[in-house]
Parts: sequence; C-alpha cells; structure tokens
Amino acid sequence: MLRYVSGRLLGLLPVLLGVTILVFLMLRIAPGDPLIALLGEEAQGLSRAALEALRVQYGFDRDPVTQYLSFLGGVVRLDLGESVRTGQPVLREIAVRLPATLQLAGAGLGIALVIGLSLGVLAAVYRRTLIDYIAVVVALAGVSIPVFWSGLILMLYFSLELGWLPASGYGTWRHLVLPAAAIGFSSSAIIARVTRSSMIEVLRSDYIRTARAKGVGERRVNLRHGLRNAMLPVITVIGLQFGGLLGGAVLTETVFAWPGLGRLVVDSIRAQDGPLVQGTVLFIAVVFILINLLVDLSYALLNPRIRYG
Amino acid sequence: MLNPKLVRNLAAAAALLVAPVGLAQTLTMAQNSNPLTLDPNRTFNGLSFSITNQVYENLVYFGSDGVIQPRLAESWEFVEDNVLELQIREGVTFHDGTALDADAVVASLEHFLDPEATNPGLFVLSRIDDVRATGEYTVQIETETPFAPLLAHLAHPVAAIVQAGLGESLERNPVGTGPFRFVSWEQDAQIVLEANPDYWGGEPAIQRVVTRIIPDVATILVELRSGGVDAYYGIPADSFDSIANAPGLSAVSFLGWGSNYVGFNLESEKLQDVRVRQAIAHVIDKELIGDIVNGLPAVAAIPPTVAYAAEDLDEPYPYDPERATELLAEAGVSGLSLRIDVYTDPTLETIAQILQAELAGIGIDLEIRTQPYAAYAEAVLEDDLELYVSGWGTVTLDADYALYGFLHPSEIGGGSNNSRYVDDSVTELLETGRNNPDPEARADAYLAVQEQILLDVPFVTVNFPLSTFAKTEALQGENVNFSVIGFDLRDATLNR
Repeated sequence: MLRYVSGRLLGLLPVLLGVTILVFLMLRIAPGDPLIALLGEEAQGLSRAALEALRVQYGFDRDPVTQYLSFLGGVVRLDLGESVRTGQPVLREIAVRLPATLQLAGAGLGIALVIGLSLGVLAAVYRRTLIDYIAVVVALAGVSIPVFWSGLILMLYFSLELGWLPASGYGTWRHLVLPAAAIGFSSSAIIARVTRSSMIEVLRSDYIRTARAKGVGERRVNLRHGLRNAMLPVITVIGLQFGGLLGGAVLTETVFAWPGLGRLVVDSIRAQDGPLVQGTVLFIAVVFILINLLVDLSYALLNPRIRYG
Repeated sequence: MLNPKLVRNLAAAAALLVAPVGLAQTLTMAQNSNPLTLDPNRTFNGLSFSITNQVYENLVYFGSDGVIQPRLAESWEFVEDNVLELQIREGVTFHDGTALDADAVVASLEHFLDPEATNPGLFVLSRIDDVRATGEYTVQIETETPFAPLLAHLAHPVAAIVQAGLGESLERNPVGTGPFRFVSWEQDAQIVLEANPDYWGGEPAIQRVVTRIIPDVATILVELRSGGVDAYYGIPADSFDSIANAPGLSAVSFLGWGSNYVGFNLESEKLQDVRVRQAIAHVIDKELIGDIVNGLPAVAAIPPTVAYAAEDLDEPYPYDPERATELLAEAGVSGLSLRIDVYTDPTLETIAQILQAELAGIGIDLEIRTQPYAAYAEAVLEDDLELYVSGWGTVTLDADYALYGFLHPSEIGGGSNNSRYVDDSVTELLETGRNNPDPEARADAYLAVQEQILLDVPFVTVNFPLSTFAKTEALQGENVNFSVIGFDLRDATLNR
C-alpha cells in the first residue's frame, strides 16, 4: 500500500512538469505584448520609453527559457513566485481564496450527493416508471442549464422576490446557500446518471437475487447490497466532480461574486499574469491528481477484493 | 478538511463587518474587479483610484466646474516660469498620526518619482526635475522646461500624497490624509473603509464605505434592487431605464472625460488623400451612433469637461453619403477596400460595425479586425495600419494630455499619435500650449489646433460617451466628479 502510494506520488512529477511546460507555452503563444496585456488600456497614455522601463521592471525583457527555468527552480523550493500585477506571492494569493473555495466545493458536493444519489437510486429501483423518467429529466436539466442563468433565477426569486437570502457575496452561511444550490444542482446530474446505470447493473446480479430469496427487506437489498456495490464508478465521478469544484467553479463564483480560485485563474489569464497563471494551474493540477489518488485508494475500502500491493 | 477555527474566525469577522456600526451609515459600493494596489503612486487604473481617492488626497483637485481648487495645498503661484511654489495646509495629519508638512509632501512626490519603482502613471509627473521644501509648509516644484498643465497633472489621482515613510506597505495598507481610512481588504470579496474622525475638513457623515467586488454586472443590477449595493458607477446602457425606474433607486448620466474616435493612418497610401478621409467622415452618423452607444455627438477632439476644449465648432462633415460619393469621385477613388482595427469593447465594436455598413453604401469595403487590447496595441504601430477605432480619456482634464499625445510628432511610434500626424504649425502650437503658463495664450493655441485638425482629418471624434451612475435615493450630497475616480463623499449623507 505504502509503496503503491509513493509510486503514484513519484508519477506525479512528469505530469506536473508537463503541466508547467504547457502552461508556459500557452502564455507565450497568446497574441500581443504581455506587458500591454498586463497594463490594459491604461497603457495607451505611456510613451515608448516609459513602456521599455516598465518592461525591465516587470522582467519581460528576460528570454523565455530563463523565465521558465527560474519559475521551475522556485517550484522545487515550494516558491511559486510573485504575481506580476499585484506583487503578492502566488501562494498567498491562492491561500486567501482557499477557504471560500473549500466551502463552496464542500457544500456544493454535499448538495450534489444528496440530489444525485437519491435521483439515481430512485430511477434505478423504479426503472421505466414515471419516477425514473422524472429523475432522468431533472438530471438532464441539471447538466443543460448553465449556472449563469439558473444562478440569476435563484437570485431573483430568493433574494429579490422573497428577500430570504443575500443575492451574492461571501461571509455567512446565508451567502453560501444560493451558490451551493446552483453548483450542487448542476453537479448532481452526472452523479445521478452514473448511479442509475451502475445500480441497474448491480440489481441484476445473482447475489441480489440470493439476498431477496433469503428474505432480506427491499430497502436493505437496494441500499446495503445494491448501492454499496454500485458505488465504485460513482465514487470515480464524485472524485472528478470534487476535483473540478476545488479547481474553482468559475461561472458560479462570477455570478455570485464568490471569492474563490476560479476567478483568480480567469483574472490572471485575462491579464496574462504569467507567474499567477502558472502557479494556480499547477496548484489545481496537484489537487486534481491527489483527489484521483484518494479515489483509487477508496476502492479498496469499498471492495475488499481490490488490493494495492 | 475545513479548519474549524478558521471557519469560526471568518464567521466572526463577517459578523463584525456586517453588524456593529449603524448599518444605516454604511455605504456599499460595487466594482467589477480588485484593485491591483492601494498605493495610488503605483498604478494607473480606475479600480484602484476608486478606493485610493477616498483614502488619499491631492495637493489640488478639479472642482465640478473644471477649475483647480485647493486641497492639501492652500495656495500656489509660479514663482518662475518653471517653478511652482505651493503653501501646504497646516494641521493635517496622516491616518497613522504623522503630520503633513512640506517634508512629507516632498517625500511623497519623491516616492512617486522613484526611478526604482514600477509606476505606470509616472508620465503624469515625469517632467518634474526637482522637488524641495523651502519652509515648514512651503514646497517648490521645478520642471525642466515651463510646463503649463502642471497643476492639472498634480490633480490627477495618481499624484495623491501618501505617507511615503511606509514604503511598499502602502500597497496593502494605504495611509493618507483623506476623509476615510483603510480597515480591511478581502481579495475578490470587499474593501472596507471607515470615516476618519480627525479629518481636517470635518468627519464625514457616512461612517463606513464598503466596496464589494462583484464581477458580473447582472449580479450588481440585482444587488442594486435588493439593497445589497447602494451605488454603482457604469451601468450598461440597456439597463439604464430599468434601474432609473426601480423604486428607491435613481440613475444619472453625465459627460465624463472620454471620447471615442475613428483614426486614419496618414501614411497609408489609400488614406493619404484628405478627400478620402473627408468622405469617410461624411458617412459617420454621429447622432445614430450616439443613440446606440449612449454618447453625445462630438465635433472637437476633446469633451467640453476638459480645459481648453473648443465648444462652438461647426460640424464640417455632417452625415451626407451623397457628398461622400462626390468626394471619392473627385479623388478618383473607386472600389476601395480598407481594414479597421479595434479591440474587444462593445462600444468600439459597435462603432466599427456601423461604419462598415455605412461605407458599404458608398462602395467602400471595410474589414473589421477585432483583437484583445494587447494585440491591438501592437497592430496600430504596424506600417500596414489603415483605420482604427479607439477610446480615450483625457484624465488630466487639460487639453495638453489629449492633443499633444494625438498630434505631436514625438508621440509617433509607441506614443499616442497613431495617425502619424505631422504639421509644423500644429507642433508649434502644441508646444506653446504646453510651455506658456498664460491661460489665454494656451486657449488661443488649442483653439487653433482643434480648428486645423478638422481640416486635416487625422481622426474623427465620433462621440463623448456618457458615464452613468446608479444609487439608492437615500444617498444625498455625493459628488460624482466626471468619473468614479473623482467621487467625493465628504459631504454625502445616507438618509435611511
């Protein structure tokens, strides 16, 4: 087990190296002078001499390979450098947004699990009945409706119409409800679909028939014998969803003015803030890979036949 | 996974922010993005100035009538053509308790001019040669050559006086002399300021100013109506009426310092004949465009809010496709195809599209190339540039900033003279305007420049965009001075 985990962790290194190279290249390929991108329209009042002075100050005059190597050297020392725009350490920029991201991802996933698993189980147990069809339609709506629409509808109804919850912002649990609901609903869809198909498959198995033949109650058959064994693919999907949420739910964060990682990534890309883009993408890649590792390890807990030697 | 202590602290902090000081006297503003820094001497961005203008003050500022008014400087005079002497207000302290005197002002200006620092707004004061204290409350500013717009430049938000002794920490913990002092800044969430009880001009009535960072305008509009945001600068044109009609809200639009213009590369062979440029000017329907993008039709290069703008010029190129066709025939031009460069901006893209349709009507094929700003900024420097459309803000509110930039030969190739305009008499007039401290001489020079370029057509000023401001009706007495970066809350009250 320990050997397996350390092997997987070592396997991270080439992946991360690849990620840094890709991100670095993409920043170079983007059209336009990165200095102008950074300064924005305000740059139009600057003289050429002023621009050249700024270029040196921001370090854009160094050649790309040197810039990349110094970035990589920093990563090894757990130093992701400083944002060009704000001058703040990249790790700090990430850290101040982490609590908000964790809250939204946690609450969103909670809601997604409740909705997704219930819909999935119901649809599988009552396969080809009205309940199944309704569950499938709800799940489809969840995938299809974009958050910038559903979020606005939630806001208009619960904040403007009823006045129950603040429309946007961050701070109290009341601020968390609407964005978590919006993101939970859209993430629940895929969980519901995978749960349904996995459950249908399991419910057909011989041991389910055996359990029923033994006289085990229907609820126990479905949940204990059925759902538990159907969970393997579902866990994979949940892991992917959670990884995605931790990487920042850009649209939800934007609509609800939630100060999470997603907005940081998008803002830094827009401004072509090299160190910040590299640092945040690298961070998200690490989180994503670690969550997948946890998912793989959880298989062994759910299914004792799986062993990592 | 969640650190419970952290969660508790965050909850406590949030409760503190929302609860104690009379909610009634908390003004909540919104803006779309974080400031990059809260040191006004290290940025050239309205997202910073909207905050720093409450915390810091300038030596002088523009009153709403466009006249320079005393602020931290009580009086001033040019003791020599290139030396400005200012008397600093006595009895003013920074938020950290240190006193403002001549030495502090000198230190602040030196902090601004620090050659080691990254200062995108450096050009605003880069003509300053020397700053010195000549008395406890007397400061002299010397420029290399006489620089008439100096006071206007000192009024720009970038030139605010900071507690320079604090150095780089000002970027996160701003310390100035202004009516509000800094409390906290949560990235992407909010910035909190509180009334400065020791403000030399008297403690403001509004006790707290919270600026929330809300990226999506649709969300801001909901928040304005739900009461989560009290005031917002820059409502989109298509939402103006619905906000103005919403109960408890009011919306105003006013002339700012901006202009939108279509420029010509005078070195492009296709555009060298002035009749071709005049023909294009004749099909720019300024009334129509103004209606669509919410702007006033323009004739002069700069809006009347800017000092020395020519206000009574007749439009030499009224909308007249027939006249345009005649001019093209006179020039012997037919089957012309042109390209216009524009950066991603709804207003500017709309102007380009309308121009494209109108030019098709007189037989000119116009290709629109839309790019992000950084790529656009490079494209306008290329030799193959033909037409371009751009926005401009005469942020110093002095004609020099716009006209010198647009028209002086030294601004070609990386400056602002993207039309490559060169005219010796205009160059001379621009230098008179810059160097001659006599307001009448400046007015004459700038009027002559504005008249001349209407004949030469290096660009066509299409309109002066209207700025918009929405607020709760409870907010009274605020002064939106040309733009949110001149927003003055010193005499404002919240009656709720």
